[in-house]
Amino acid sequence: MAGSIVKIGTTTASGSPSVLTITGIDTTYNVYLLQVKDLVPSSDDYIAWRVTKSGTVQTDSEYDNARKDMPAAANFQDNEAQNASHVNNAHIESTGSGWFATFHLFNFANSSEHSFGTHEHVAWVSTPQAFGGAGGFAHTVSSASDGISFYFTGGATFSSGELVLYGLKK
Amino acid sequence: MSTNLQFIKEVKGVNVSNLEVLNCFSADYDIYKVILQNINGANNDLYTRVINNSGTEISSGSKYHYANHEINDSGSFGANKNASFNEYRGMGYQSHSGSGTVAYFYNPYVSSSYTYITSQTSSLYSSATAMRAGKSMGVYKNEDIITGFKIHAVSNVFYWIKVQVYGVE
Repeated sequence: MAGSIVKIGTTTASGSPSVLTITGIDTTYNVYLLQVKDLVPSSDDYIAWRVTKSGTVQTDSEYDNARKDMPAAANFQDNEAQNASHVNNAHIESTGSGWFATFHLFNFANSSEHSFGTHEHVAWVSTPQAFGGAGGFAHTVSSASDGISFYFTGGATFSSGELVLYGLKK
Repeated sequence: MSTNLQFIKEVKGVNVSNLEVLNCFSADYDIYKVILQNINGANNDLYTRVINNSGTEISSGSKYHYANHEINDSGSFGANKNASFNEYRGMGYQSHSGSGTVAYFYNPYVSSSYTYITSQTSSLYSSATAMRAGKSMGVYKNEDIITGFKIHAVSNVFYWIKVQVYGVE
């Protein structure tokens, strides 16, 4: 049976990498779905992501984001950043089961528009407690992006992690 | 071209206070998309518990951690959370005018991992004159093999309830 969610590729952490990147976004689809699971740092650390262009991670200060974060044992948070060097998220516990998320990515392959996306996430964080939320982000550069790259801002490596990219059929 | 969202099962109930969704999680997938719809005799929360591979509904041990951002079109927004409970609230509401929820389960069948859930819901209240939406996340903080889940009404019964489960390949 023909389907409308088409797997494009998978990246699995192997050998304690410092970044975990998946590419494969092009004009084939308008919207891409990214499933993220098991992102566990080698030591407690903040997970963050950036876009790639032609496979190269964009390290400029062009990232905006806003999100509602919901700890299970603390007050909810309104978090945001403008002109940041990455999109920041939770402080993941290295002994827990990691960070999980579902992304929808829009306009990534459009060379005349910004790349932006939505995400919902859930994790076991270092506080320790359950922590999740939802938000949106943009890379405010009008050029095509072809992927997403995750890293830990404090320098931890990936003990585990998997990224699976899908296209939503036009 | 094959699809990468695989239908696993659908379970329905009529005039029931709970609905078991058994043997929907397996080693075939790590991520599952769950669609929940219901109509109930009363507006309230509903709650979910996981079922392990022995067929046991986990109802003790305070292993459920969750947070739910409640979004109302009439009235203030709510922040509902619990860091030690025997049920997960937030994966949908019961509603006498209809409710729909999309949820993701992560790693339920992975014996070395907690089970993670995110969800988004919308329901109609007060004879369809008010709307209650929500964004929720939860962690079942125990490393065991989860094969299904059970949805309970907090009050009254579900006049109609339906759950569909898909594997994300």
